[in-house]
Amino acid sequence: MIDLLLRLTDSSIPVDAVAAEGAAEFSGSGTIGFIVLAIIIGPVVLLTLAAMFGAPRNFRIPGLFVGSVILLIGGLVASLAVIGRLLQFIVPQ
Amino acid sequence: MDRRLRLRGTEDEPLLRSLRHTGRTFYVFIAALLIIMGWFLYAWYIQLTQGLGVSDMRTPVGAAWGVYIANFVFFVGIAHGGIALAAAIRLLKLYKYLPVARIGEVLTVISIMMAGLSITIDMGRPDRIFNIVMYWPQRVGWSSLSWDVTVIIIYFTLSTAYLWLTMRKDLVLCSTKFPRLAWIYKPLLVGYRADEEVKIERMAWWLSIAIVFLIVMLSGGVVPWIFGLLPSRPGWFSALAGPYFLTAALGSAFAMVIVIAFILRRVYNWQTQIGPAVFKGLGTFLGIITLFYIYLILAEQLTMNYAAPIAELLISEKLFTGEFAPIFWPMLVLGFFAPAMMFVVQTVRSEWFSVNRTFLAAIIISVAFWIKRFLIVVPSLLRPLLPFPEGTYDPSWLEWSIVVGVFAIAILLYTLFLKIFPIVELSEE
Amino acid sequence: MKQIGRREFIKYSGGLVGLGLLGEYTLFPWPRRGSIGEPSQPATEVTKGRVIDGPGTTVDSHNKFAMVIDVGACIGCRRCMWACKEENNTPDAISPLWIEAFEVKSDVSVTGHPSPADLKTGATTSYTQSPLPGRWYITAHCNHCANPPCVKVCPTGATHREADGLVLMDYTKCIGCRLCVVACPYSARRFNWWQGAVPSDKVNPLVPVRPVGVVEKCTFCVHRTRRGQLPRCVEVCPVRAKHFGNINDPESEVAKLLNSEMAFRLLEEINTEPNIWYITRGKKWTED
Repeated sequence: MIDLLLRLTDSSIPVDAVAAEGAAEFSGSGTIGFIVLAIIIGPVVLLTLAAMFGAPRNFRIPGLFVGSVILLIGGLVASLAVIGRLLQFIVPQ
Repeated sequence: MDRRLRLRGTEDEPLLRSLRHTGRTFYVFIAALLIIMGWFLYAWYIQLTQGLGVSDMRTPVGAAWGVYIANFVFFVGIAHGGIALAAAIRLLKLYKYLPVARIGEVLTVISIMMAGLSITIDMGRPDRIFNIVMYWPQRVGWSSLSWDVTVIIIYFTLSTAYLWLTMRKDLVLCSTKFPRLAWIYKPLLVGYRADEEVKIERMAWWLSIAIVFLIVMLSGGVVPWIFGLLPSRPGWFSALAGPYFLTAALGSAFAMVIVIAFILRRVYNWQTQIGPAVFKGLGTFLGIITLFYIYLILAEQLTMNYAAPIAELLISEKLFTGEFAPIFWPMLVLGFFAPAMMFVVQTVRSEWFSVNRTFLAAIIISVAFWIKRFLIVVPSLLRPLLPFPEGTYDPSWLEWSIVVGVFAIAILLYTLFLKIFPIVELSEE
Repeated sequence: MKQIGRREFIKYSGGLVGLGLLGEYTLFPWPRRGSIGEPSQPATEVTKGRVIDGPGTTVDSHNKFAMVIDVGACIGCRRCMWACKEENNTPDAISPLWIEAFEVKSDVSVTGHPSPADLKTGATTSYTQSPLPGRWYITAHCNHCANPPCVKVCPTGATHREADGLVLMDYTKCIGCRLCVVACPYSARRFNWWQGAVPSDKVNPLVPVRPVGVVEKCTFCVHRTRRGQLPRCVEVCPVRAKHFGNINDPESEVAKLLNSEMAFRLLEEINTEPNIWYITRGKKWTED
């Protein structure tokens, strides 16, 4: 158990079976982040699916909901790109 | 004189007052906010062109993070209570608080945007902000900041969608009463059918659970873990960071909801619509949270003092007797303890309840929570683990301009929302 | 009330946005999913417009660079600090420098490691005369840790660890969030609070000039060490207090020193696995 935890967090211990000869690969594979996010996002996804597909049956509203989520995330990402591009004219490169 | 008559007697929709009546005070208010915002933009421009050196942040002797990050944590915090209230109303059927539900939801959406703004301002290279997205697949497995960005984006999206869905039925009424704004209402009413309300309520119920869970995992999770997972900073490295931040978030958020509800109630004469019972209940809850927070401060400081390693002791010393003592003690006693006691007394003895006093206490607690965020971020950075000289941090005028500017923008956006959408659920009528 | 084309609206707009995002995701040249140790692009590749540490150098993964500092020999002259500044195009705006020198008293720290406890006995970085009797001089800078918290927290991978043990920066990716600065237990990282200027006749062409708003730190002189030379600080030390080499090579100076001397590392208990060892073989300089 301890070595499992150590492997998750210690980026210098090679996680894969082929142990490094000398100082070859440094492969903490970043599993810890995926575990953390899975714990957080998993229930959220499940609950959102329950919200969408639970009673009463309706496909319009969940559709609108999904559309709004996509628009919001897409818009957010796009606005980050736009803001970055605009700021490139002000911040000394 | 005329205005008062109109407000009191003759209208059918008192809750639409905020959309109908725009007096001179309002325009003066907006003008003041715009001036502050202009000053903020000027200050930020200086910072963008000259570098973050215009702040008082420094490395390695000094604080690498300062009021901008304190502001970020504060805004993320108040972003949580807002929608937590709306969620609690739906899940626990606390319909008595329904009038302030949307006040909280809007607070959430705007606060998250201000948190994002605060972070952008703190970046050395905000022109590269898209790098966070671009390298997300590579880094999300490791970086606590990537986790933070991920969960904040999901939280913002769900909260905004939640606000939109629960607002639709009120927009139907608005589009008949305010045809000039129909170009805003119509797109938001896409696909509207009168019977959708049942499904929306049901979805809102499930989403409330998801959102409450996200609140715990964001305010008590990824945000404190940016600090709490780092052994490099005594005072930060603590398992308590999660519950600590979560409690502060709920406390500051509920305080803010009380403040905003009181102001709106006074300005638009909604004394019956937002009754005293709402303030009494919220006040009680705020009092309990604040007392719990004082307990957490006690737990933390005791641990940093009893048999603590020298690094922790020195940080605690900064708060108790050092350079931050003049801020820490007033914050603790006058900012947290006194208002919390007031709420306890007010709860226990109903005849001493006063909405005005509740409002005052809520403002004091909000300010105290902002100060506490500052005291979390800065002292630990001034005393590193190697024997560097003591750092100092005295925020520059520019930093304060920016902090105040962010608040001004938040108020501006909130006021804009008020003028376009009903801030209290119309179904009350 | 007039309704906008419900299904059609949702279908087409949602579909268009979805298609756009999907297209972007698949066509975008996502950098190869790397782990903590792999460089995001090979160092030999000519990377247009990228400002990175060690451009044009190749990584030999059989190397593991380490440094051994002889605390007893150091006289606190700070020559290493200034040589480093010159070598690495560090502008005046970066202060203090990448290397920091601590003057500590011997009763508290030297067999352990310097800590805030040393402040009680007057440890300082701003001594003006050295060496003084009863004092020890300890220089510290980036330890190029094997389990670095700074690499873990970086949201863009600008800070990364390469296969020969060096923790290096990709200045083009850095967004200046300073999470690595607060994550480093050694306070080894510096930030460009201002736009630094290095006079053009003093610029070292082998080392990138960093823009404002990015983090920087000691690179173990990657542009020299990957070409078989010593870091500048090791080279200029007048008392040969610093030793550098490939710890994987049993014939190297550092490997031999670590074999024969007991050494400590700074803040060992934090488990960062630093690659700078400090040995104390007794004071080398005499008090006169």
